[in-house]
Amino acid sequence: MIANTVLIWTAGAIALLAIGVGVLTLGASVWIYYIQGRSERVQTDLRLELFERLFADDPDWNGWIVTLSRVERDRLRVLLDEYLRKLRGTEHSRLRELASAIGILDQAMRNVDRGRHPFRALTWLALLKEPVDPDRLTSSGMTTPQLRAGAARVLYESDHPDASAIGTNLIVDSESLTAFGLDTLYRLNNGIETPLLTRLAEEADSWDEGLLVQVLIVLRYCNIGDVHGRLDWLPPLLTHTSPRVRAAAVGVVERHGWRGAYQSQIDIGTLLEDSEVAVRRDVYLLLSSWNTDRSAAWLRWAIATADETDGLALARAHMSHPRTDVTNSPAWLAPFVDWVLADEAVGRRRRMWGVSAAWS
Amino acid sequence: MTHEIVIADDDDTIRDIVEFKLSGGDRSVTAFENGRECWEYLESSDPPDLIVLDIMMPGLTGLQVLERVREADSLSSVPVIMLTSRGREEHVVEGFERGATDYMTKPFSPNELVARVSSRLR
Repeated sequence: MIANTVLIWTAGAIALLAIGVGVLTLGASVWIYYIQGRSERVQTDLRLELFERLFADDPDWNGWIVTLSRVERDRLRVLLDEYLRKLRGTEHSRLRELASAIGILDQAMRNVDRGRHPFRALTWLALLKEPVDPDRLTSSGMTTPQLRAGAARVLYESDHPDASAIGTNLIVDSESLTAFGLDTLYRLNNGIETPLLTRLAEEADSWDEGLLVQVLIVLRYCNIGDVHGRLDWLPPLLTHTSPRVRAAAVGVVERHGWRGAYQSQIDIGTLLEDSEVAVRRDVYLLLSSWNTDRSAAWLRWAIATADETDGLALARAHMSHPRTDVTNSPAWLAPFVDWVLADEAVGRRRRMWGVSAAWS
Repeated sequence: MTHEIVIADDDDTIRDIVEFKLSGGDRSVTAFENGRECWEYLESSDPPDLIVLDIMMPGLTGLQVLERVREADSLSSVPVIMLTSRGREEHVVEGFERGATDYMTKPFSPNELVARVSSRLR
């Protein structure tokens, strides 16, 4: 009898609990739905107002901001983040004034000084292109690769006169680079100044393999001004013990070593006999980009000595070199030549008629 | 005489800004949010005076639309300005090789876009 009573009470308690949880869940869902809907409506209205003021003769940001609620100010920050990434010029300057009026700039500077949400603060400073003293940027300790890249990005975006040198040193002081760090390093070194060349000349042999490969890949994509005498560190890397480093070094030679003085320093014969397929493939690419009789002769030699493992890469290189004739290639290469031709035809059709998914 | 400008960009904000800045006076703007709709319009309407294309769009990319424009007899001479976040040297070169008249990278200055459009419409 007592056991039955306990069972009934327990079941009742569980049922009540379940009903309570259900009601609470439903209530929370309705509340969240309401808040989100309100937030979206607020943002839509704010977007229209921001848009009109942005292109008006006088945006009167201060007069507008005092009329906004806290929720509206929060949503305005989201919009500012979006617009600052998409615009530059006059409109960017106006958005910067708005960010300053709403307190974003002061807050970002305070947070950088205190080390509070530092990456978010650095992101705002970079978006606003705010000039900040490098010592101040790093005073609270740049403890992670992401933060160092963030500080470098602020210097780059604000056109600091020493951005390239200081930013590069900040970024390559990491054991490995983040995607954001790679992108920032490329921006800092793409152009007349290329402090990476100096760092590589001084330290390439002491760097960790992963960092060295990443830096070489960045350098491959950079446009470099005068490289005279600044690539002397490169040939030794072509015989590095790591195949990844050798392949990345060949990539740098392919992009920047086309000058006659560098071409003569490269031992193509040794590279063509490299045990690593990735290295040989990049050497074929390199030779196809050098429009010289010597590079054509090396390609013909490679075709005469290589096997089918390299067939596709060799066929591509052979066909894109202006001084080699594909009709004279050996019979074993013919299927690979056909494959490259078919692949190029598909590529042309794709470009014209959008055969593939269209994102590129 | 009104100049018609066709723009295609899948980013609402960019599309709104470009439409706002380029409309008015002697210019009218027809905007699309993807490359396929833009091409279908171009194929079936009178040639516009200028086209502004993003590259990375669903349906057809801006480069695919550009190639079709250059292949079509009625559209081949229409100026096309690419407005894209693809800003590396090889991207710009590829854009011009495919027939772009001008190339602007994002983030962009709306005033600069207006100036470039105006110079092409003179």
